[in-house]
Amino acid sequence: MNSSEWSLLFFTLTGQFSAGITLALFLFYSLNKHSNQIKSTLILHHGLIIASLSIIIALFISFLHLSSPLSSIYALSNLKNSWLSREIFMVSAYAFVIVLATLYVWKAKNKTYIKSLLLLSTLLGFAMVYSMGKLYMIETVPVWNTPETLIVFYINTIVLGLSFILAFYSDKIYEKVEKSFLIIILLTLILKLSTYYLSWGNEINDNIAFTHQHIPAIWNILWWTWIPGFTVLMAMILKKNIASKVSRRLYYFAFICFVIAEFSARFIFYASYYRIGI
Amino acid sequence: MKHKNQKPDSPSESITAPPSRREFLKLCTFLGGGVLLSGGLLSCLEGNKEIPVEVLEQKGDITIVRAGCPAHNCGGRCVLKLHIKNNKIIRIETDDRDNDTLEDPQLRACIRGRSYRRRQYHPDRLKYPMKRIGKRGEGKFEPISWDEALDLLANQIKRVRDKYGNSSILVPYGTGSYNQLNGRQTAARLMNLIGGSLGFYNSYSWACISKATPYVYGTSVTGNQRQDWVNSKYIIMWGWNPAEMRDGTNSDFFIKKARENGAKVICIDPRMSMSAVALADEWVPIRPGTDVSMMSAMAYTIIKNNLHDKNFIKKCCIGFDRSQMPDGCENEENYSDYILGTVDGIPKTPEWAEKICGVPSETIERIAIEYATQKPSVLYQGYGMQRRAYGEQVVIAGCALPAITGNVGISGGWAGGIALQANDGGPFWNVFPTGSNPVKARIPVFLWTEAILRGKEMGFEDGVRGVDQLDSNLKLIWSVASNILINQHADTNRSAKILKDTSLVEFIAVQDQFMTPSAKFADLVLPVCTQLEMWGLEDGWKYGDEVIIMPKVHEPPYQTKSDYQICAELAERFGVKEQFTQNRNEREWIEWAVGRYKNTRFPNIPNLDKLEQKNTGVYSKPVDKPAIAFENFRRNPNKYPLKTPSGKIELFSKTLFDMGKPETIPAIPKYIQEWESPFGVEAKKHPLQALGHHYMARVHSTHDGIDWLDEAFPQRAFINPLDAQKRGIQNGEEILVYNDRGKIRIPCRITPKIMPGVVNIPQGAWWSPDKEGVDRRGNINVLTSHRWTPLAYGNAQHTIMVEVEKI
Amino acid sequence: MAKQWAFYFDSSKCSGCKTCQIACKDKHDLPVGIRWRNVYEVAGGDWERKNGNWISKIRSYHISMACNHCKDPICMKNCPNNAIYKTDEGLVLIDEDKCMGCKYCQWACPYGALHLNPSTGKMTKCTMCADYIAEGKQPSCVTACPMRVLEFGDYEELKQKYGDESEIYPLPSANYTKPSVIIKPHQSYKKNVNWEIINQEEVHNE
Repeated sequence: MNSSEWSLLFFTLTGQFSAGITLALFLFYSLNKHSNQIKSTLILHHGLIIASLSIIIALFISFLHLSSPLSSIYALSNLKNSWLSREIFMVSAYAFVIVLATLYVWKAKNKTYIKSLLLLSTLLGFAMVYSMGKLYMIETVPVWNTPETLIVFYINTIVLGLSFILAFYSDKIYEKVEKSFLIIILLTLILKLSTYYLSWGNEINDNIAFTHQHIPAIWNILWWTWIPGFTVLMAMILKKNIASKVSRRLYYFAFICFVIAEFSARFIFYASYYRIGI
Repeated sequence: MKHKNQKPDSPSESITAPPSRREFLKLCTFLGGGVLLSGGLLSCLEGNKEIPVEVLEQKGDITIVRAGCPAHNCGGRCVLKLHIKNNKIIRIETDDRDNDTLEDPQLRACIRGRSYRRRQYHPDRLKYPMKRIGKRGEGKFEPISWDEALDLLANQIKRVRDKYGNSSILVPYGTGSYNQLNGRQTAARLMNLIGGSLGFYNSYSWACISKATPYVYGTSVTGNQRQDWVNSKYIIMWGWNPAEMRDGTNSDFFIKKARENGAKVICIDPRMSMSAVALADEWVPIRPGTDVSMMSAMAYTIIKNNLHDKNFIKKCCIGFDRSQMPDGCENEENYSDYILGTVDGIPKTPEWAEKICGVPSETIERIAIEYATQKPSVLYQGYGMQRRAYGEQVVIAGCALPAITGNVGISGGWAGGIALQANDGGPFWNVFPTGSNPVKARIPVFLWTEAILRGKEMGFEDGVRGVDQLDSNLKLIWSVASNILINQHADTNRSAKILKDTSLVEFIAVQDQFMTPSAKFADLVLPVCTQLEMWGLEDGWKYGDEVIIMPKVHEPPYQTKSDYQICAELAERFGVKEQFTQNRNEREWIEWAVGRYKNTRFPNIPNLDKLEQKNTGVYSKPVDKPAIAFENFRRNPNKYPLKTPSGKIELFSKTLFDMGKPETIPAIPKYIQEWESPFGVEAKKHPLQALGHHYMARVHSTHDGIDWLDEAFPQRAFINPLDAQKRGIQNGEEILVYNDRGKIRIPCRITPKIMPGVVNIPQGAWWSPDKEGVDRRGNINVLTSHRWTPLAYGNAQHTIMVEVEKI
Repeated sequence: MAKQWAFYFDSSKCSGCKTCQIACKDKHDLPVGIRWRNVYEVAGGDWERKNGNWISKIRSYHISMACNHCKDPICMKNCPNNAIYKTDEGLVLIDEDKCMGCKYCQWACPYGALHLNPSTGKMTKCTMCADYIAEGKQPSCVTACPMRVLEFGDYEELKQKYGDESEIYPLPSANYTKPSVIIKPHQSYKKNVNWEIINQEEVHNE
């Protein structure tokens, strides 16, 4: 892992986090038919700011990865063939729309189009995550060239985005939304567990000169930190009448666990790079 | 060493300043004004006549000059195509003559020549004369003026000469520069004009092989011209690695051509060398130092199977069996006696040899039969196996096999031995005349440390020749173009201890281009310019039929001077300047050198002006009909006898017999167990054999630390995976290689391309002891011994036992 | 058929001397750390113990490789900035003005041909000495080789002479990018040997 790959690691995590927030906000808004005006507005306002800030920070970090950032003005030149070009386009499009949505929510008098904007942002966010995943699926990099890459990127998006809202706004969302979030996260985590055991049948029969660099054991251990988070969320869904203060603390804890787990997973992802040939 | 960790600055940013524009214009003005200088003016105007601008090739603002690759002691003499812009070499290419044929191939430079810019403009080049401050060996110096420096050296030489005599002064063996005017020959010439200095014979490269070959063949000129190899059917490369060390530019290319023509090639070597990979059909790993056992077993197989050439042996050899022994020696052990074991009771069977050399007996048998039947066949002896204890034996054994199979004097065959090129002996190397040494005393080149310690007690038994006994210990060393003192001489730690003692050698001057380990032990350091900064000329390296001119491309930077100029200025202080310079400047000397070639090997060579004008760099004589050594002798041995006592090939040498030392100098070639071998008690403590092969990244110690070369071939201790595993050693980690003489600590490279039981630390790396005295760069001579071989008094520097440890 | 310049490399006679690597470094002033042409030392096989002797079943050869100016270059396809282009003579070159140094091309290339120049921040690679080719000369590495194992010419012509082998270990299947290189394998080469690059520290490309 050299310095330019660290910046990619933070870029993808932060960008996907932003898309996850957007998804959470959309779900929150859609599931909330009878919303308490004050509460919902707060989450929307905060959430959109956070989503916007995250994607802007992500964009900034992505520039750190470039050795000649000034030439990035050409980066949309190869939409025809290059998934990286497409990804840059998607990140830009998503960022534009989410910032637009943020300004709309904060400034506009009549917020009639709020739902459409949220839906558009969410779809763009998902498309962005898709292009992020696809660009890693390079033909000559077998370890990344599997559907697992897309799956873990989406898992990251969903888990981090939704658990963040739970961690900081659990007292401001309704029980129905809270429960939906919990179920979605738990199902996603079960999917995550299955990726650990699934092999994608990528038996490479080709010449490979250099295997991936050594990954210190600590990262493989920290990959499992999502388990305590999972347990906490299970308890939250099974147990009734937990005090709001306690539940907030539990949600914080779960969120921290997921951050560590996803960070480790992403580190392992980058560090396991190797190439066919030399 | 500072320059080894140098950050990679672009080659165009160098600290060594080429002449300023103003100086260059001044040069042109002089030329334009047609001012001719008399040769006696060797002052700062020296060199103004050098580059007549109009004759050089221009490509826009780039001047192309073709010149010989600076002659160090690599195995090649090649052509460099220099691109010069704004007085700086910006590109180096190689020979680009249109023809690249077997008869007259291009002389293509290797990585050492191609990366020369990194050496030429290296920031660590010596710039000023320096005098020692601090203790000798500490490497602490202060700059002084040339006048002061040369006065100091002259006074010291005079003082020591007057007090102890000329034979107490040594200009050591040194092969760092060979372009006529850079190199120790310039200092030798001066010394010979002022009473002489201690002479020496032999070399570090070829002590045993040059001494022993004439005992068999009466001459050193035993090699056919190399183009003849294409006529061979079977070629054994025994301990020979031309693809890496070169051994004459294109030798590897010629073997490739031979193979294309149907020759089968076998490499017998403890390492799967570059040559083995590129040129061999089969690699036979053999334990170092046991070659004579395999050669003897091959002879056994050949004789037992009646495959020896009986006619040739009868007609052209003596000593093969009882019927052809010299007078008075009829009852002595003859060659067949030894091989068949009729006298010592040990038939030298392949099974006997297998236990010693580690080569399976079936393989020995098969190769022997192939060599004897797939004729004409070549057995080429490399130099590593004779740079060992009893190295004389392997030379003679390696000559005996061609003799008994009748591979001598025929096209496609090879007589073996040192094999200087037929018919005229090949390249001259040096034509700059040194004159004759008034001091008659000569020591073997390797015994100079003995001469320091006990010179006065050295006599015939210590290899002293020319006098009965030396009349003095060595008191002054003036080292020119040599890194022998510390680095290339054996037993570095012992040598350092001897040299540090200022009561032994009272004054050491070192003349070089870099602060080498030897230079660190100097009392006076004189900075020399590179061969691109002076006029020079080179011909082939051992083999070849060409002359390559080396026009001056730069002015010497800072205060560097050529070896010739330093000696000329020193000559003035002895009042022999005119005798030394003959009133010639550098270019005139090269003109004179071209004349020497015209009078000898190349009657059609144009003069220097024309050569420079043509700008091909090289004058070559195509070899259409390769000369065959001993062709006449084979046809008519009575009319063309050899210069041996019997006039024939001596498988038994009465001369050696008469020396009366059958245990160490037998009359016939014998396997003698080395004094440090896997079979002795020393193997308990130090079970591994160590080699120090000639690395691609260096020429001996020249080029060490040049960044591109270090990147391509980093200095490592090469070890077999089995030996590494036993010691828990991982690839790339630092290991300790040691014996009783010293310790080395460097990163290792695990490679399967070396025999188990053998480690390899490429020779020439600059000695870099840390605070505990452990060498951290891998100078193999930390592990080698001062013990010399019995007949040639040669260096046995590859006979080393060591142990290796994980750190 | 359109011209496609290509390299022919005779691995059976390559000694691994790296004159090609150094010639290239000199021509393009490449600093330590950037090698457009690398020489890989490959070895396989084992040492066997028999009757108290160690028998070598070791095989070894070298691969000298720069850029193969592929017919379907994955670097060109993937570059977001269109900074890599293919000329009408088949050379794959980098337009440094457009390059932003994202290294995506380096990730993809199975021949390790792309190198980031840390001082300019741009990706660099073998240009097949395009300037020499334009003058009718040969690339620097080709004329440098002391064993004369490198050749240069039109791919179809070289293929007629030498076949179209290019998948010698450690090189990948030619299907990914269709490299314009032809290799003559060493006589000791065969598939299904425990081949390994044994000079990894000398060639590793980040």
